[in-house]
Amino acid sequence: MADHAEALQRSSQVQVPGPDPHASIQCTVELFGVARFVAHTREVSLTLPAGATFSLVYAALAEKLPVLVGQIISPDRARLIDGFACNVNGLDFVRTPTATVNAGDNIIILSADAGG
Amino acid sequence: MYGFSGRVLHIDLTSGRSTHHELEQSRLRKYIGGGGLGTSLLYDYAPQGVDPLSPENPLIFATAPLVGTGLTTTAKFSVVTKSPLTGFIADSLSSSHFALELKRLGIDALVITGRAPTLVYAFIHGEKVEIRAADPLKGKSPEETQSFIRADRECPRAWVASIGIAGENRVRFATISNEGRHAGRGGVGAVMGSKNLKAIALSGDRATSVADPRRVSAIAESLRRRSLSSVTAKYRLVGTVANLAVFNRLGTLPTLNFRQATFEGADALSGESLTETSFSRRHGCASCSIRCERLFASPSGEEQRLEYETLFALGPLCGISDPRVVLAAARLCDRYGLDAISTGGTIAWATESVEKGLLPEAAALGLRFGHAEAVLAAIDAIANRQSVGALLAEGSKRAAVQTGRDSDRWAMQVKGLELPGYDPRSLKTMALGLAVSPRGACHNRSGAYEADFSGEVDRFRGDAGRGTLVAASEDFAAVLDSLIVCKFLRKCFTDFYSEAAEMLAAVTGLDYTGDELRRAGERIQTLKKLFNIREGWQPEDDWLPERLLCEALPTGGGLSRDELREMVGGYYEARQWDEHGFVPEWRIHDLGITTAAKEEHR
Repeated sequence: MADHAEALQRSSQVQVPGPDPHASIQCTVELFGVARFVAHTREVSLTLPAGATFSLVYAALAEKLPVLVGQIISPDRARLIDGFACNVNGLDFVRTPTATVNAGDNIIILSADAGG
Repeated sequence: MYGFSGRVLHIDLTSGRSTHHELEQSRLRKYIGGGGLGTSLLYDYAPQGVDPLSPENPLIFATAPLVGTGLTTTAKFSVVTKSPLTGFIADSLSSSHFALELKRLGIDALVITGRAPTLVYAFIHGEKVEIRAADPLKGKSPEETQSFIRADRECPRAWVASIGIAGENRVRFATISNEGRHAGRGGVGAVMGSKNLKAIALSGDRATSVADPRRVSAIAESLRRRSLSSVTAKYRLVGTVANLAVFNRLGTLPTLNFRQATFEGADALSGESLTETSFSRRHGCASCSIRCERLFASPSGEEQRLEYETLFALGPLCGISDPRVVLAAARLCDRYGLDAISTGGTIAWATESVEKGLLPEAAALGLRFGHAEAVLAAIDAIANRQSVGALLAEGSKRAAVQTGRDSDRWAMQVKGLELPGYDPRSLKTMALGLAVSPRGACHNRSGAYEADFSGEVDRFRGDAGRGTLVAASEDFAAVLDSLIVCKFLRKCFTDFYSEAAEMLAAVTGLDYTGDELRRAGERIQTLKKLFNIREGWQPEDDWLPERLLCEALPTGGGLSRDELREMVGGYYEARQWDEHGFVPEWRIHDLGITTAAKEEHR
């Protein structure tokens, strides 16, 4: 995974806050495991307003893939349901849906349980 | 007595005699059953310093109070012995009908010592034990062994646990297998083989009685319902093979003998791809509503079970990206009765050794990363202890010691047990869990990776605080393994210890509390450590292989000695052990650990 080292390096750099409220950003959502199994899709591109939170990501994802609602995304489309987790760029796990998304983020939806 | 039977069946294969002993209620209360009870019995039955492959090493099969009650995922049993791979405790779980039948014998544990003069199997029905000749079973697979035994008109419905040829040949990572499941880690199959015991066939006649059937039934229904909720979706819809693609994406998939943590061929091997291309059917253990097992169509047209650990160890770890090869290798491991993790780990070590100009016999097999035929040939050689297989059958640690030339630097093991499929350099809590686990590098005796995957901690940076997380995770696992409840149910509880106490109370009629069970977890885990200390454990045994401490991952993530040292220190502090990891006397008394029953049970 070539972008993993880059992402790790990027995460250690200071992020500049204060997005332009009129701008929009692009991000990619990658689906793994149950999410991919349910949606029959590996990846979705989303356009979001700058400064969007993860709640907005889940809502936009639900709009594109309604089959995820109730199985992966909560019925109010604001969070993931129990058993699922979200990771950004293969690095940090998202603990709260109020965290903000950065332009170009790769958002990974996976099962929260890593037991094997 | 509800839930328990209060008896141990002891079979001495040297004399052929068997006897039932009473088991003290205090021991059952303190150690519950399964892994806890097995640990307690091992401490007392195993002479200090016993050679694991000698007749004196006890092989213990322990059942547990929740087994046979109809509570979901509880059809499990624990196999406990001194490991021939590590020289420390081996406790392995397996499941399904054999577990139920063990309980139906009206015992809490079966202890086997001695050595039969020739290959035998034990047929235990009701109160009777028959030791029967097993000459025709020599070299047979576990599946063939069960069929053969069941063909006997006296035991058509017996449930059988047996070893394959690897156990007969005392491969130090041989398994004990039943119904396609395995007590896999630590070489329990080699101990069984060293006793010339090919199989154990059980036919019990006692129902498990519970103190409060109505309450048990209500809990069973509630648990069953929760077992089908979103928290188990991964296991129900894709199976553990789902881990591979996401671990690859997160840079934590051990590849090419832990030289990297991402694999170019991961896509073809992913659980998602396998489900599309080769899925055959879903299966489950007896008394399980989750049904996590996935069977895939193997190249020979037969169905093959596949779990994440088998997939990673026989795939990326050895550089194999063709799923057909992994399925064929998994089939060989099952047939021969080999732990797939240690098999893959040892072959990966040998492959790297060949790259470095060592092991000419392995080179003659054609071993190189990604070479399918050579991996299959190596598995054959290990099981049969032929050519370089005789060396590899000893496991990577011993093989490296014999080979020398610094080859221990790339032997990826802890205490002799090969690492599972989680790269510790990008999962720091897991790194600590692997280093300190009493049975060696193990992903099942704690779920330390859970903290790393939750975002609760920074998975790329270790600190002393991880000690508390790992200790709590080990205690939790120790109680699950003693009740016994499958770990795949673990996220279905809101307050595990209280709910477990309620289950135990309903089954046994005894007034358990959550705090008592939490303490039981600490006690069991501490007794495992005490066993290891008695058998020669030293602080340097709680450490990780050199590669993990010297080589950063190409994709980012490294682990320093200081970082690991700090985490290990934090763990000892959390356990209230001394700074070197030894258990102070006051702590032993504080946890109520006694081994006074030793003489009584000899």
